[in-house]
Amino acid sequence: MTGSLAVLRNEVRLLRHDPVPPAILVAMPIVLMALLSRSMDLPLAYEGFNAPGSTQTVPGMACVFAFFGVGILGFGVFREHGWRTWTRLRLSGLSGPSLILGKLLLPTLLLAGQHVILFAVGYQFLDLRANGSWVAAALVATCFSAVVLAAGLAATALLSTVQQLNAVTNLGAMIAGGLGGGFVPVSLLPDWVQPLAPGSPVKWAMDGYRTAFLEYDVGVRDVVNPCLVLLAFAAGFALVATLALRRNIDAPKRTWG
Amino acid sequence: MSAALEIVGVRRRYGATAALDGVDLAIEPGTVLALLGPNGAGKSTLVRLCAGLERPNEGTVRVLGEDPRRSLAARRRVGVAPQEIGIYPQLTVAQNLRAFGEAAGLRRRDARTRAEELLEPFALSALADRTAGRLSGGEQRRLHTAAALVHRPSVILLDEPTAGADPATREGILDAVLDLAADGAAVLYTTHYLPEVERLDARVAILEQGRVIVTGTVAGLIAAHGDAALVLRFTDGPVPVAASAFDGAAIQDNGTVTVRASEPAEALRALLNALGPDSSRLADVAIVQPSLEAAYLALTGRAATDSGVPDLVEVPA
Repeated sequence: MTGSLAVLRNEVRLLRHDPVPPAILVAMPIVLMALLSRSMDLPLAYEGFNAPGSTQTVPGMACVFAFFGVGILGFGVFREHGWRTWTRLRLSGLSGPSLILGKLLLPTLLLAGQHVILFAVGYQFLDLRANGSWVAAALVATCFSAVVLAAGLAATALLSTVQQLNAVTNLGAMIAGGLGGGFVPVSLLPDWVQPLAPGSPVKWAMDGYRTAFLEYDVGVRDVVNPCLVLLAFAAGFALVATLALRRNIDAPKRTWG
Repeated sequence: MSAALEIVGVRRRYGATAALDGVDLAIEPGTVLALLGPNGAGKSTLVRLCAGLERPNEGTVRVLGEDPRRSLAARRRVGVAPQEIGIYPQLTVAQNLRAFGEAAGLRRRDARTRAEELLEPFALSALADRTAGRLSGGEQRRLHTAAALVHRPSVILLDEPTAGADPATREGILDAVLDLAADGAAVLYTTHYLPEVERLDARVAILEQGRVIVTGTVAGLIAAHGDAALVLRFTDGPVPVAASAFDGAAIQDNGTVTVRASEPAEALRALLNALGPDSSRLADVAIVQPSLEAAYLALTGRAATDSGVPDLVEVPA
């Protein structure tokens, strides 16, 4: 764990020198939340809920833009290869698991911070309220973050260029977010798209959030099912990542083309 | 004294290519072993094996008696500066040193202290707060090498640490290596710059096609394979018979005599005695010191011209 914390401290040092990229986790979703929340009032009313549109946009944007955590985690590894510091870290006596765990810690903190900020902005400025349970919403956020981190690790392990990483991150955010109801409720998606929604972890996260925010008299047990599905997604990605990393944790990455 | 780094019968293959083919080496604490050899001879592979980054197909590597692949403690006693510079360009010099110190297991305070200690010997004090990306190539090379030493390793692996360095940087790094050895570290130093090896007075191993073809001291290698000579030039007239008939002498077209001798100073004394009154005709005497460069070329040249790899030559210290 000491080695992982050393890696985390170095990630924080690097973040302080270049804090802009993680801003995508909060700046863009806040803009979209502000612009789109009113437009979601009617769709929610159409579904029979008397709730502000932020009940859709805040968790939806949180899910979509959390996917950019895949890129943040991946780039944290890819740039080490570009700077040739990956080998140096490995040569310094860091075990592979310690190094990987250390690399996961900063994106974990960033995702936690992202969710706190987005939900706080929603609460303060966009009238976001939980009819059901904030604790249940936090559980959903935690499980969804686990999916993002595991997917990021799998992408990092499997991909070999930073361009591939960018493509997977952007496509993942848009496709998984769109299919899963991150932009608009799944019920408003075209008929042919709706059957595809369960293939997106965002769908299950939104199911959990909608339960926590829209339903009355609900608690943690009412979001257990979507959380279990999310954890299954996370386990699948983690398995893929583990197999790839065990094969060659030091596989070279091309970073700058 | 037991070896700090011990390599026994190591073979490493990549597919059908044998990068290392039965390498035996040992480095005692407080000594420098210079590993020489042409590109592709297997030097960097050997460094990676010693650092525990790769596993040999056969044979063993022991760092302070332990397998670096299995022992985290052993790996943390090793300091490695790979051939290619690896530093964080966005961080300052001091932050780089602290980062690698902490990664190697130092506490934050110890890493900070140690980073400050390393600035001076590597001439980085004035650059401590400069971001590494803005350093010159030589400064980056010094930082890169210093970063390998921040955790006070007992075994140091320096893979061409002066590649591309200017003379001042090279001198600084060589001084640092000598200091490390004086402090008891075992140093494996790969290079193409043979004068560095002589400056370090290192024990030498030459790697050729994955095999160690010769080991020995610099002096021993030069004595066995170097080309020491006396060069004598006489004033007008024929070369004295005493000189032309001297053991190992050869007359050149311009009237000079070259006398090959393992001990040129002794040969000069004997030659002057043999010349007697003719010694007054000597216009010039030069002692051509044999060099490691000459010995290296002789050894690897043989390997290049032969179909196979030369047999191991043991040179006495």
